[in-house]
Amino acid sequence: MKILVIQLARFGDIYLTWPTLRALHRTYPEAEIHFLVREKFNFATDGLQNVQVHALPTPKILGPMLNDKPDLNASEAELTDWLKTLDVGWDAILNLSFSPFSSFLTDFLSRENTLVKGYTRHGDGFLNIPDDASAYFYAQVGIGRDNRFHLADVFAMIADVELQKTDWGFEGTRESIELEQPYVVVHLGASQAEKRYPIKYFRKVLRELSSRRVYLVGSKDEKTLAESFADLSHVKSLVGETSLNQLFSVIESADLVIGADSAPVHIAAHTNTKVLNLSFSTVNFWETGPISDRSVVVHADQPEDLSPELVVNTARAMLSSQTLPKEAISLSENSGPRFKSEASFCWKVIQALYTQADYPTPIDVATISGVKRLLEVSDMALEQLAILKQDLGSKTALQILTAIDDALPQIAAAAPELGPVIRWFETERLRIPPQDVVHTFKRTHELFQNLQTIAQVLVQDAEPNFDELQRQGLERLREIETELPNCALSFRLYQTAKAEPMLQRLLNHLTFFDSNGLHHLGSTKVQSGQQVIQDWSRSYGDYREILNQLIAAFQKQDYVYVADLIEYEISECLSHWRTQLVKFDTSMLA
Amino acid sequence: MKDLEEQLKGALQRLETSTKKIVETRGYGKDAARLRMLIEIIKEQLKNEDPRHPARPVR
Repeated sequence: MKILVIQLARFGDIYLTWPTLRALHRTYPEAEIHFLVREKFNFATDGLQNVQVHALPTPKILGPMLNDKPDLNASEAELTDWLKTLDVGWDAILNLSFSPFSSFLTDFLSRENTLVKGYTRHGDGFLNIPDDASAYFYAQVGIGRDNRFHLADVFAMIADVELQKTDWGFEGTRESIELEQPYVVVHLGASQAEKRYPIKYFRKVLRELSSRRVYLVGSKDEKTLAESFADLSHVKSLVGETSLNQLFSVIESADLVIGADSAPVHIAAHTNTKVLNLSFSTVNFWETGPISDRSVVVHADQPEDLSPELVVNTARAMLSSQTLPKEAISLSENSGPRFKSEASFCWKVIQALYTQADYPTPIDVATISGVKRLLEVSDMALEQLAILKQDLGSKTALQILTAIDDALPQIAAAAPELGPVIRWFETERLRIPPQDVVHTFKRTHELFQNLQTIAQVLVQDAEPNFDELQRQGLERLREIETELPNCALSFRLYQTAKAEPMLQRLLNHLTFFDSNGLHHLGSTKVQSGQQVIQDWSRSYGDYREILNQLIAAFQKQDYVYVADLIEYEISECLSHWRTQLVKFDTSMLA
Repeated sequence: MKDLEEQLKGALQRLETSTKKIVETRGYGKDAARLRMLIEIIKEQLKNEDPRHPARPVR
């Protein structure tokens, strides 16, 4: 049996694919396992055994089209030649790359009997997601999504293998270096600038770790970063001076590795060296963070927001096995997600969608409003599909179904907690292959029925939490009212650079009232607050009119009028809202 | 660097035109797939060869 595993992402992902390759070898010991990576990251396969490595020669393929006289035919010929070396009749192709190129390649190399997992293409060239695990990735993994599984585990799910502890490790030849024990390894760099911790903060951290020898590691490109530490006698730079095999040895013998989301953190997973991962919002640490036992993450949205004191205190606690600061997040010893995380509504929904767990109870008013809309939309879609079943040419039914497609992302935007459901639904629709109308119709009908069932389950358990809504509403109002006078004054003085961010914050706060469906409260079943609800709806209408005028005045650069509207109209409107919100709360409590 | 980017963009445009013609006349097959692969390799280069883009543009 010949299995091709495609991993065309960066080398961090290549290291995260190693365990899946080993699990494949363990599961299918007789199989030939081939591994395709980019030429540029080929070195990240050193230390892998029982695998035949292939490289995508991007420079060779693109070379002819970058000559003085670009030759596209020659580039195509290079690609064709390379494809021939790979087109050998695979029994299975596992594409773990999630990129458009890899999906076309997977389809190209597949034959009728090839088992394909991961992104590929339908017969008409459109994206095909044949397996559930890849569909899960498409719908739920990445920044802004709610997946909690590590990417290494997602790769194993796609390959349909169970990972074991022994699947992590380095099988290459170790090249040790003489280093002073005990020591800490620090990687200053990161694959992207946004993931990099500021050097001035690193200086503060390393100054405080003077009781240990600290070795800096990194690539040749990062040598200048290390120069900032030349005056710290306990810090020695190995940046750009170690081979990959040496780096494995250096990391393996370290007491601790400190670094952002980058190669040393992934290498530490294979040497089981504990990691203090400095994580920022450009990555999800639960997806690509450390794997080694007793690893810890300290997280901030921006690198500048992560205090050096927290990093120092966490590192010290890890080195002396003492209690971690409460902000530090440790690796979970339980099965499932590798990091302990709050059981958010979205994660519970994902578990319900994919593992048949129970659906959570919606309490957020915007979510409840969204669930009701989802139910309306699925009811309407099923009605239109029933009409189409009788009359395939019904233009009205088709128009309504198109409008429903447009409405779903709007529901997700207004009720973010429903994002996982809508992304699941859209992904499943994408998976419907090009085929005859009857099959497409049947599958679409089934999907809308599933969506309807999910909405019914969610709506029947809905319990709006008005106390929390009232608390958040009042807090927002307080923030708006504090900034409002400064914002108006700045517009009046034509200090637009100062005024515009304030206006943006004001609008963001106001959006909360929209997105939480406060103007829809009249449709809830709360009888005791009825009078208040009606008042609220009236003032909401006034506010919309004023807001339209405000935006029009801003676009015309009529800043004095903008200031007037903020100072008098918006201000009065907010004051009215405050009264209503407090009254609403009082009546609720009564 | 700018020239390189311009060259890649020019190649991309020509390949997209050719692919469209092939798909319109012969449908999606091996030839169109090869051209789509070239197109995607170029797009990856234009994004600094970062293949971890959101899956959304895939289709």
